[in-house]
Amino acid sequence: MDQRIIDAFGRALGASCVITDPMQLRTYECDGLTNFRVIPALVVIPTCAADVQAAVRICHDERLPFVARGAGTGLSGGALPVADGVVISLTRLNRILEVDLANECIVVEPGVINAHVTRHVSAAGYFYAPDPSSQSVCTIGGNIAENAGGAHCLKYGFTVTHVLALDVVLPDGSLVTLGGRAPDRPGYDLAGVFVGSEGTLGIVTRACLRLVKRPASIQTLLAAFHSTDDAGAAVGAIIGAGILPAAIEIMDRLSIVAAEAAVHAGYPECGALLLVELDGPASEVDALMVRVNALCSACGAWEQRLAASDDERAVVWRGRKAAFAAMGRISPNYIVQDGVIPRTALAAVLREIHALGEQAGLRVANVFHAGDGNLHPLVLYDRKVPGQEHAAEALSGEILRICIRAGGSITGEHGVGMEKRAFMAEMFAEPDLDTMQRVRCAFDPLRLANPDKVFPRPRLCGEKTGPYEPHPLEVAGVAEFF
Amino acid sequence: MTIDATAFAAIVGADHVTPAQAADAPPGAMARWVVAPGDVAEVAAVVRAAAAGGLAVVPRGGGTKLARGNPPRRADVVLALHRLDRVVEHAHGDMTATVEAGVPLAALQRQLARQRQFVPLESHMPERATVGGVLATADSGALRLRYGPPRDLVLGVTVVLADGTIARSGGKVVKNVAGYDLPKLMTGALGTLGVLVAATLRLYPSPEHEVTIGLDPGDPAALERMLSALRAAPVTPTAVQLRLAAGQPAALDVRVAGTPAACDEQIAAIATATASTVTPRDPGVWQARAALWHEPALMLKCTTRPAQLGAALAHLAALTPVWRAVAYPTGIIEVALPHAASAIVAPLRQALAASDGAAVVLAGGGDLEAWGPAGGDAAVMQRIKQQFDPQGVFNPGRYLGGI
Ligand SMILES: Cc1cc2nc3c(=O)[nH]c(=O)nc-3n(C[C@H](O)[C@H](O)[C@H](O)COP(=O)(O)OP(=O)(O)OC[C@H]3O[C@@H](n4cnc5c(N)ncnc54)[C@H](O)[C@@H]3O)c2cc1C
Repeated sequence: MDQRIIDAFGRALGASCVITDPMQLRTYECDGLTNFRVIPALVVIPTCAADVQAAVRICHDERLPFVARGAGTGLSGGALPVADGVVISLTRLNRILEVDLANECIVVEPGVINAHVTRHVSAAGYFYAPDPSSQSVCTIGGNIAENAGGAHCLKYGFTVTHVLALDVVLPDGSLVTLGGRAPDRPGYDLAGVFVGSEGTLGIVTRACLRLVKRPASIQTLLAAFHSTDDAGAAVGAIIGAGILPAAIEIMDRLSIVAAEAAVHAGYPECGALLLVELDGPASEVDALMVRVNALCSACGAWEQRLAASDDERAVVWRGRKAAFAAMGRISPNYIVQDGVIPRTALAAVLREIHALGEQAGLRVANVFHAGDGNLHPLVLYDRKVPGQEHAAEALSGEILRICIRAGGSITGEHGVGMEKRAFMAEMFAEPDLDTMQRVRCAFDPLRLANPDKVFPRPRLCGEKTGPYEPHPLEVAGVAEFF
Repeated sequence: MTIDATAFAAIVGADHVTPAQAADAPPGAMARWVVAPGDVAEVAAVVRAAAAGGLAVVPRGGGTKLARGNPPRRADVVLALHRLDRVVEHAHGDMTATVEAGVPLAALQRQLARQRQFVPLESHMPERATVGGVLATADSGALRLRYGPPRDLVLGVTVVLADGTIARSGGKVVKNVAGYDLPKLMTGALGTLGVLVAATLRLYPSPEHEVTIGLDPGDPAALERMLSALRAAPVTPTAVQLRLAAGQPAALDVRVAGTPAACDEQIAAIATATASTVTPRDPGVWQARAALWHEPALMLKCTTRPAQLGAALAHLAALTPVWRAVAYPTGIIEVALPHAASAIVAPLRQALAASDGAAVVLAGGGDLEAWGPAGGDAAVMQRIKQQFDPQGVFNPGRYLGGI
C-alpha cells in the first residue's frame, strides 16, 4: 500500500494502531473458516469510535475497501480481508459504557466479548440472552453483524431481538445512531436491517442491548433415544403440546462420542441425545417437566436425567457447546455446516443427509438447535486422502440444497459471508437479490464495506434491474411465496 | 402516458375499479380510483401501470389506519388489498403461517385457533384491520411485552416494488440470516417502500389458562413504585397495561398465563413484590385500547424509555386537563385528546425527546405534522426511499421527513 496512505492512518490513529508488518498481517488472513485466506494490505486497531470514523474516512477518501473484524470466530468467511484493503479490528473498543437496569439495557462497545455482558449483570439478576457456542470469545460487534443465535434463542430471540440502538460509522465516514432506547422511533427500522448485514453496511461502534431478567427456575433434562428420528419426534411432541422450552437441542451418536471424548460431559451412550431446558416460575417448570418426561418416554426415551444443580447443568451444556471443536477427536478434518429446515421436515431431511453421506463414503455428525430447525451437520473427512476434501465440500453443498428444497434457509446463524454467496442465487431469485442490493446502495454506494461478501454478483448502484421472473422453486411448485 | 380507469379495468376487471369517495383516501387527500387486484401479479401490473402514468398509489388494507402519517402529496390510486385474503398455509407443526396481506386479523386468529395457536399481533377493529396494515403501521399493544413488537413476528415478506418487481425476502423458517432482513425494513414503513402482499408469521401456542388481575396504585408515586417492582419481580406476565384518564386514579391490569398453579404462584409473587392487594378483573379490560378509538379524537402514540413512563404521563397530565390513555410498560402510551388540544403536541414532543421518545399523531391531527422531527439517520432513510421508489409512487409525503 502507498506509504502516503499508511502515513495518513498513522497520523489519524497513532502509529501503534497501524499494522504493516507482513508477519503480523498474517494473523488476520482468515477467520474461523480457514480454507479462505487473504493477507490484507493494512490492519488498523482503533481505540475509540472517533478513530474508527477517522479510519473509515480515509478509506472513503482513498476508495479503499475495508473489512471490520471482531474476534475472527466467524464461520462463513465474513471477516476475510480484501487483498488491497484495510482490516479494521474492533477488539480494543472493549468497554462496557453503561448499565441501565431500570430500562433493562446495557451500552457496550463492539469489541466486548459476548459472555462478559452477562457476567457484568448476573449479580443483579439479569443476563444477555443470545448465547452462541463461541460466546466466551466472540464479540458483540461480530454477533450484531451475523445476527448470532444460540441455544436459548428459541425462546428469547436472536441478536436482532436484543439490539435497541446502534452507533454506526457509515461507509462515507459519517456517524449515525440507529434505533433508540425508547420503542418505535419514527421512521424505518434501520437498526433492524443493520443487524445481520455482515459488515456490509458500516461499522458498529456502540450498541445498546436489551437485558433479560434471570428466570426464577431453570431445569435441564437429558433424554437418551435410540435414533434421531425418535428424538425428533419428541421435539415435535413437546412443541406440539404448546410447551416453549428455553432450549431444545439434539446431538446424534457421532457428536455424542466426540463431545464425550473432548469434555467428559457424562452423556449416556445412545443413538441420539435430547437436551431440553425449561425456565420460568418454579411451579410451572416443575409441572411442564413432568409433561416433557412423559412425552419423551412416549417417543422412546430409555433414559432421562435431570441436571440437578447449576454445576451439573454447566457440564451438560459444556458438552453441547464444545461439539464443533470436539470433532477433531474423531476426524482429522471436518466442515461445519449451518442450514435451516422447517422443524417438521427434520426426520426426512436427516435421512436424506445420511443417504448422501453413505453415497459419498463420508460420515456426517449432526448437532442441532432442534426447536427452530437449525441443523449443524458436520461433514467429516481426511484431507490426506485424495479426493476426500472435494467430496466433503460437494456433500456439504448438497446439504444446503436439501435445506432449500425443504423450504428452509442456507444459514441460520453463521451468515453467508464468502462461503455461501453462490447459494444465495439458489435460495433467492434475481429480483429478490436486487432488492437487497437497493439497501446496500443506500448505505454504501461505493461498495467499500466488506465488498465481496453475501451477494453472488453485486449489482452496481444505479444499474437497472430486470423485471420479475418467477423463482425456480415457484415454477417447480415447491414454494408459492413467503 | 395517460392512464385511466379502463387501463386498470383491463388488469383487474371492471368490477374492481370504482371511483374513489372522500373516505377511501387518507384525510386531506383525494383519490381518483379504488383499484382492487385479485392476486399478486395483478398488484404488480396495477403498480407498474400507475407508475408509468406518473400516478401516486396508496396501498390500503381494511382502512382502519388511513389517517396515519401526513396527508399524501398525491393519492391517485387507492390500491385496495381486501381481495388478497387467503391464508396460504398454516404450518401448525412449524408454528408458522403464510398469509396474504388482505387477511383480516380476526379472521386469521380464528383460523389459527383451530390448532390452538395465535399470532401475537393486535389492532383496534380486528375484524377489519388486515395483517398487511398492522405490519405496515407496526401497530402493537399489550402483548408486545411478552412477544415482542410486530417485526419480531415477521419471518418473510413478499413485496411489490414501485417498478412492479415482486421480491421476496426472509423465509418461511423461524431462523434465517441469509441476506438482509427486509421484513424488518418493511414492517412499520407505512407502504412507502413497496406494497406488502404476503407475509410469513411466527405463531405461538394459545395459553391454556389465563388470569387477569388488577392493581390500584392510587397516586402517581405509588404507580411508579408498582411498575418498577413488577419489572424486577420474578414473574413473566403476558400482558400489562395502565388505563388512565384525567382526574382519575390509574388502573393497572396484569395478565398471567400457564398452568393454574403457575398462575396462582405468579399472582402471589406480584402481590408480594408490589406490596398491594390484587383483585381479579374481567378480561374485557383488554379492550381498553380499542375503546379509545370509539369516538373521534386526536390520537397520539407517545413513546419513552420504559423507566420514564411515569414522568411521561406526568408531562401529559400537566399539559392538558382532558385526556384518556392506555399505557404499556414497554414505554408506549396511546392517548386520546380533544381535537382542540393540538397545541400540546409540540411541548409534549420536547418533553419526550429527553428520554428518546416521540409523539406521533395516529389520527385526527388536522394540520399537525404527524411524526415530529427526524433524527440523524434521516439521510439514510431518504436514500433508502430513493433506491426503492425514486419516483415517489407510494404514499408520497406521508412518512417521516417528507418521505
Ligand atoms: C466453535 C464455534 C462455535 C460457534 N457457535 C456459534 C453459535 O452457536 N451461534 C452463532 O450464531 N455463531 C456461532 N459461531 C460463529 C461466530 O462465533 C459468530 O458468527 C460470531 O458472531 C462472530 O463474532 P466475531 O467477533 O468473531 O466476528 P468476526 O468473525 O470477527 O466477524 C464476523 C463478521 O462481523 C463483521 N463485524 C465484526 N465486527 C463488526 C463491527 N463492529 N461492525 C460491523 N461489522 C462487524 C465482520 O466484518 C464479519 O463480517 C461459532 C464459531 C465457532 C468458532
